[in-house]
Amino acid sequence: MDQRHRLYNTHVKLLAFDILSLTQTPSHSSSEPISFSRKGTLLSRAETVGTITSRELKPGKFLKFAIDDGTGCVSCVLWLNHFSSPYFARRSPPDVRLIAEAANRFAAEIRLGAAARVRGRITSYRGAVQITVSDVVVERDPNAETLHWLHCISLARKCYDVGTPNK
Amino acid sequence: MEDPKVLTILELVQRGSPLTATSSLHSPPRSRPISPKPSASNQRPKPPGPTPSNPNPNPTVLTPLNHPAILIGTLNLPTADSTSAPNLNPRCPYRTCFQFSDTSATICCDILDLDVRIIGKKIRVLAWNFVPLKKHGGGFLEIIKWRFSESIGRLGRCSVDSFPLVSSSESSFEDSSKARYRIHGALESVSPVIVVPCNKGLNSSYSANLRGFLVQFIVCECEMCSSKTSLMVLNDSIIEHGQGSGCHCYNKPEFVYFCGSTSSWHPVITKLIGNVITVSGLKKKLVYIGKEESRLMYVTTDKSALHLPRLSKKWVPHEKGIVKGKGECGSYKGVVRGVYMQGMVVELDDEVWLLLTDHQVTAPHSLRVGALISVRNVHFVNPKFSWKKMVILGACFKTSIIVESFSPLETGCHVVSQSQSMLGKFVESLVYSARLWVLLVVSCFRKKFAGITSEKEILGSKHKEGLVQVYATFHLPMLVFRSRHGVFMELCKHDQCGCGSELNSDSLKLVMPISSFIRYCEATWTRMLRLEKDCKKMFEKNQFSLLPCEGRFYGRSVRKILTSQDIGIILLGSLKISPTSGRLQLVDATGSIDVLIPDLPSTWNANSIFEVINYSVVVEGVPNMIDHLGLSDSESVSCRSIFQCISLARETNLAVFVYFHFRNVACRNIPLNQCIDWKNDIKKLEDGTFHLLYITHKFPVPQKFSVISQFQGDLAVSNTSSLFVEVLILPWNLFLAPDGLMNPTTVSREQLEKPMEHSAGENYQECVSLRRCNFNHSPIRELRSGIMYDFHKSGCENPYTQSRKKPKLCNLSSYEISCLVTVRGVDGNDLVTSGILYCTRANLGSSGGCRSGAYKVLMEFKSESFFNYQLLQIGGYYITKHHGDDHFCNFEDSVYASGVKVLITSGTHFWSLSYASNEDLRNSNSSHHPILDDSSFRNNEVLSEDQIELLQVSTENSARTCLDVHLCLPAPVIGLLEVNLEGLGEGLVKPVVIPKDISNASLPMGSPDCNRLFPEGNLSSLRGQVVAVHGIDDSSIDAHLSHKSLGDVCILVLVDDRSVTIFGSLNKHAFPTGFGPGTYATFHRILELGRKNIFMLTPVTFIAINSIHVVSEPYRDTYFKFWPASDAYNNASPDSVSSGLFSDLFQRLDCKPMRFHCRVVAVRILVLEKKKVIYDDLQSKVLARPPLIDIPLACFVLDDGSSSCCCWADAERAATLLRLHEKLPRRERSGWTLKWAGIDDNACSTSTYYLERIFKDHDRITVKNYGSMFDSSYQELAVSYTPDNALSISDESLLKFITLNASFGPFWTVVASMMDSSTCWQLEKEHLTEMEMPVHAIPNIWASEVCYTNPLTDGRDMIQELLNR
Repeated sequence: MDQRHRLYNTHVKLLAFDILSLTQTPSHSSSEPISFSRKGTLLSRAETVGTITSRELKPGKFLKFAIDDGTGCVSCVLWLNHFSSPYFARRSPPDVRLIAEAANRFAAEIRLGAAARVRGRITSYRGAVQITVSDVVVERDPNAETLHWLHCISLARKCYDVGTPNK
Repeated sequence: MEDPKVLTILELVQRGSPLTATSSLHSPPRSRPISPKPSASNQRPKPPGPTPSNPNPNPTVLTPLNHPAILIGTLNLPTADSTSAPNLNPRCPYRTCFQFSDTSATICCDILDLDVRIIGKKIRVLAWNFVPLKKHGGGFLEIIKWRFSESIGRLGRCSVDSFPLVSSSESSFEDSSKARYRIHGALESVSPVIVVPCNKGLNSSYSANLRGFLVQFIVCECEMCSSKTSLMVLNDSIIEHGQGSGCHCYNKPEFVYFCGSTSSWHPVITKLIGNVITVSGLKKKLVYIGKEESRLMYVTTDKSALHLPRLSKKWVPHEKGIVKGKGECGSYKGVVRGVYMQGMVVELDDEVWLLLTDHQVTAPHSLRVGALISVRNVHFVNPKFSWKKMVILGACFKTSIIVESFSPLETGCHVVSQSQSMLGKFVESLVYSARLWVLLVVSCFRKKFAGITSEKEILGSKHKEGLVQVYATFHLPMLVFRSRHGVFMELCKHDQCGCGSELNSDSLKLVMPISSFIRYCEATWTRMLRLEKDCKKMFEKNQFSLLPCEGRFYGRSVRKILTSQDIGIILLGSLKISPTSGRLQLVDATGSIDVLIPDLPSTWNANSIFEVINYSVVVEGVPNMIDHLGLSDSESVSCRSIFQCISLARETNLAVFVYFHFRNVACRNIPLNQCIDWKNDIKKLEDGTFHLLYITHKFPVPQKFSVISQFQGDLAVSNTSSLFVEVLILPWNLFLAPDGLMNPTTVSREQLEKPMEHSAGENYQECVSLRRCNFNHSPIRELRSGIMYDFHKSGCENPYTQSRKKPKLCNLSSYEISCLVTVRGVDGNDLVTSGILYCTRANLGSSGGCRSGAYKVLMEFKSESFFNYQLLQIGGYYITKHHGDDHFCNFEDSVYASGVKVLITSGTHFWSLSYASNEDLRNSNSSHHPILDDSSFRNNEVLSEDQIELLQVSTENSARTCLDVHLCLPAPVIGLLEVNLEGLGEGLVKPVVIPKDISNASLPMGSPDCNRLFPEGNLSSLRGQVVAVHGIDDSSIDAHLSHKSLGDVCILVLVDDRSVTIFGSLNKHAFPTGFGPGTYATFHRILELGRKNIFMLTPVTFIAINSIHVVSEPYRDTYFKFWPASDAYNNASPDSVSSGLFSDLFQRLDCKPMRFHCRVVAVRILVLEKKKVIYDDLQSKVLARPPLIDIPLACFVLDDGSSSCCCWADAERAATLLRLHEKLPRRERSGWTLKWAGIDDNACSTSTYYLERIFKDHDRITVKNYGSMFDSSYQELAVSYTPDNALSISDESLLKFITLNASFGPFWTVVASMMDSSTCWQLEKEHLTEMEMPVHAIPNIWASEVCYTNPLTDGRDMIQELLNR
């Protein structure tokens, strides 16, 4: 695996300020129109932990929320359009229902002030980096947030900043 | 409200049942609550609910009368004559109780919040309890609420009430001029009433026993207090000046002697302790407090009067600082939880023990279980016993007990007997901690020896010491004894008398009934596990784990060893062989406990009482049983359980046994059983002829004796049957010379060597030639049952075989070997004598040679001689006395017959024998004679710290073991005995087999053939460390090896670092005491199955324990792993596993386990199987039911932020990662719950539960992910199953949901190692190829441990790591 793609399928743990300052490059791929990179390493997925600071629900369409980890505020989108989206059309209805139920459960758990751990794809909306949410875990232990920061620092030192390809 | 009925005392007494009449308490006016009022003191009284301490575990509340009832009568002082009614408590021994009289009768009573004005007045008792006194007849009245029958007139302006101590009618015409003193002060302490034989000096004709008691006041020395101003003025001034806060300083002790008729005021004065009162009309007198010591004190006269301020205030003594428990005097308030030992021991609250052992100190009748009492002037002692933390409240002559709130429970009164036995005096002469200890011994002995001996023997009588006293005297150090000086002396010179002085009594060890001891061990085991907080973890662990033989641990037992030093308990009992289980046990009247004694001499006496001080207890059981044990910490060692006379039924299934050395055991000369005189034992080994035996095999205890020995303890067996031992009667007899045996001599090396050289010398050449001869020419001959060993020597003649008479020393043939015999004594007095070994089976053969053979004989033991069976060890040499016509020498006619059986009676003695050459002795550096050397054996295995030493004598190098008889043979002939055995060759089972060889060498028999109907192979023996014992489950990946035919239990043994598997049947084989993981054991006569180091237990297999050590946690699964054995031991324990990132794995080549913090992104494959339950009733009794679903394999995609990786896992690890133990989200649950009617939503809400339901119709279900491996919400799951019963859509959805849910899980800490490429390839080929799943170039790891991440500790570690960089 070449160095540029080594983190491509990994959910990188970055602090919000880091996520927000990712380099966005228009790409020729149709599925991912924009590619994101940090210090030359391509990224597609991220994980963040923080406090939910805003929440905007469009039932049956999406839930848009912001997650603040103390270094910045990342906006996230959780799609709730499984039954109308063409992407899911080819899949069996029970499976789609299962995924839709999971998404609805996540949406119910996203409450203002809650601390949540969010994983998803890095996407861009109107020029700003956002996360398209795959799953949500509400953290009940306040130490989880601190541990996440430490993971971010540790991973940056040990992994993300090591052997970064020269641009 | 209905009019209250007036009852009479006579009616109550005749009714004879405890009852309460407190209905008036419910009426509003001035009611006094019956429940104990929390006082201002630091004690928080517990609600007097049912106390576990009561002999009746659930005392009921006093029966309330169903109608309002009052009593009308008079409250009187003890000696005051009741005017009309007969006293129904004539025998109340205290004579210090208040009396309540009505027209019908008089009984003892107690009253709350005494108002002194009440005395002698007619009152209406509105609320009361009545408790019948069983022993003394009559009853006891507890007055809760009362009022005057008639109004007593208005109170004057006078602020002080005055009461003459002697009524005017009684007062004599004494000179009143002397009675001019007055004392005003705080009442500090009151002595018990004592009777002084008294001669009134002036009037010598009048002599009487003078009753009286001493009262200590603390007075103020200020002018006003010591002046003679009127009481009223004094009191007013005190009140005005704020209760003496400023101007009064109570600090000077003064004594007042209440004697004569004023002594009846004892109950009143006692209740006034702590008040500031005045007594007037006193005289000063010199009172003898000791034999020669007198003291000037105030003495009451007929003119004396008590003055109480209306607004009395309590006097608060100056602060005493922190109570350290070294005997300080103080007060305690608490609820009575138990009264034991005829009222001598009162348990207050939790583990606060009030000792009322001085017979003069009496507790009021109202001191009943459930009452709130206040104990004044009691000594606080922290005894620092090693076995229990507690506080002792030691009552001395200053101590008073006041009941503050009567018990609402139906508990009886205790009346302490006033007569004093020798034991009572003995107890009184001790410090408090020792007193409690002796009382515990008393209670314990009464239980232990119940039925064995009489109470009188145990307790002694007035003139004879009982068992307890003998025992206690022996154990108590001199320091705990203190001299007593009498009531007056100890009160007046309280501090000088050393009352309350305490010493550290940690050396006093508790004696416990064996049943309580077992209970205690079980509770300790439970507590240890709880403390380690590994219960839950192990519970999970016990459910799954992959073993090489595909077995599952249904419940791995946890073994804990407690040492006597830690627990501080002494064991007392006799050693007996259980007639039911055939095991050696320590027995008392309450129960029995299995014991392991490696050096049990052949001479122990089953009737002796042994005291075991140094020992270890091994407690073993399955952790998930804890929840069922129902043991609470408070039940651990409680004195309560010892004082109570409740035999605790043993309900748990923990295996408990005690291990100790016999040499550390004391045999107390308890008059119960005439202890054997140890000298006699040595004498038993008299001179004469002895047969020399070699034990080739012991047949195990037949299964009907003990079915599930490890967990179930003894099972009742109706018929005792025989036990069998296979023995070779060696062709040598030992003749012991009569000299030496009678006269103990000390042994020196010179002595040992000298006579041997001398006596053996002449035979050396012959013997050597004998041996050479044997090697060169003699073939080994095997006969049917007896194995002959030939000596080629002509002209041999054995006087013994021919004449069957004792050979004489001078008449020895040339087949005699002289030797030095050392006989072990008990206390190191070894006896040395000379002996002769001579050949017995010397027949003139046809060839003219001398044939000498050993015969194989089966010894049969009946239950009365089981102890002999117990003593014999396989591979050991023994001698037994030859009697004129015994069974061991009657083979002349049936030499070649098979199946010779000898019945061993209890009269037969076996002495273990060892031998060594005199050269060995010479060469050894040890200055000790080998048999005196205690460090007898060094095990070549690496032993852990927890090792309990070697248990059995070694059979390999008997020279260094500790046996009964030791032979010192000339070096050249030492080989004779050994060769003799070697020659027996094929008749014996081969010794320990090293499995290394098996795996490579071709086996003579039993080529692996699975199609055989019965297992075949050779019998063999092996010794190794038992690693695990578990049930066999045939849900295996490696399906071609089905071991089900071999049994249902699999024992994993490590022999020389090689893993060996022994199969057996749990219900066909009994395991010996102590068997389990961690033991080194020798398996005799197991069947070699000839493949893969697999053996099988047979019905004749005997398992001998060699040593035991603790397995504080289950053996790690890393012993049994997926990849080759060579790596297994490189695995570090999880604690030392270093953290890592998945991205690091790309560079790694080794398979060392690492710790990862990661989350599940997706599930690649999940295989679920129905578990076949092979255990029926046995397992369900012992263990919690394991889940019915097994996960042979699962593959998860994990992501830790640095990379992804494929993590393979099985069993419990897979279940954890799947979150099967977690509850399903409620919404989902309700969806599925609806489909199955009648499910208790609360009880069954984990995924496991739902899965189990699905598996009712399916054996195996596989879920595979054809979608994304990197995005949890883009997985595409497909479910396949066998058999082909269609899976309903809802079931399929549930499976998919569970799989998906795994990807939405929390942070995990996973300990895993890289899998080698071949294993990965195999797994992928087997499970994933057909799926055409994209093969990703990500590392593959195997999870060995999975647990939730603790954000706090992990965060700490990580911050440390970051800071250290």
